[in-house]
Amino acid sequence: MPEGVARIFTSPAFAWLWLVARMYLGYQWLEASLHKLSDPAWMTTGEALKGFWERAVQVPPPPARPPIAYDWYRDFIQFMLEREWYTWFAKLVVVGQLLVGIALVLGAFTAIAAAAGAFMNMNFMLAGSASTNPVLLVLGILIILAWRIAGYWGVDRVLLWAVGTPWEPGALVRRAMRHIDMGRWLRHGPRVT
Amino acid sequence: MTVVGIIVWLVVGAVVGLAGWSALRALGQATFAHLPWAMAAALLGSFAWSEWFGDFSHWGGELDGLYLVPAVLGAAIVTALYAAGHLMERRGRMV
Repeated sequence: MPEGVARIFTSPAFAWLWLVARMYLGYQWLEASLHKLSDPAWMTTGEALKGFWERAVQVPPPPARPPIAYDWYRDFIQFMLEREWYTWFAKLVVVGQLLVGIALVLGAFTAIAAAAGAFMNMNFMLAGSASTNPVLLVLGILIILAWRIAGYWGVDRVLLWAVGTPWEPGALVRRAMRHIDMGRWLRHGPRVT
Repeated sequence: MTVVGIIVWLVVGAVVGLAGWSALRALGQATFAHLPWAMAAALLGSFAWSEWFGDFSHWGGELDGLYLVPAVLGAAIVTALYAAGHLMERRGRMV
């Protein structure tokens, strides 16, 4: 990647760009979830999701095309529909949208939140709903690529320092690791000495 | 946003961006190459607050689709963050 382009994704001088991007994305997720929170069709019966799934699995006679392009995905939705999983899955969608929105606005575990959001966008699109999902998906992927600085003007400034990454543990994790006897840990589980 | 709103947005972005860049220049921390980024930060900040989040901050009234106070505040905040990030990068405080 050219150095100038790489700087946009890694330098604090460009953290403002990702702050605006994640505020927009977070606001979209919050807006999508908040009105559902008080809607019994989402939070009690799951009827709203049931209706969405029922429309998605329909296969109209040719030359019309079904909303879902992949048979395996249609089978997956049909499988959940027959078992009435929409009753709890609807709550999962709403809570997921809300948490993604909050995390993006605060800049807490930004890349993980953006990945969760992108995963939901991908599923909505696979189920035949385009809407704003393509734009939100691209924005989510860009935020994931800018994971080092996307939350620089947010909670990640502290979280990344404290928790770190799987390949480079942060200060708090390193301190905790020093107090763990790895031999004991493997034999008996995590006991801090 | 329509014509007058767009013109005011461009003026706000240009003035605030120029002010941010001038401050960095006065500190000896910026060259002319940094001016477009300061302007971009101000324009994006101004647009973002007025256009996306203006619904819950109608302060200062609306001017052809542009919420004036949010537009100025957005420009000022994002330009300040650009300047702060720029200074931190120069001091070697990378993530």
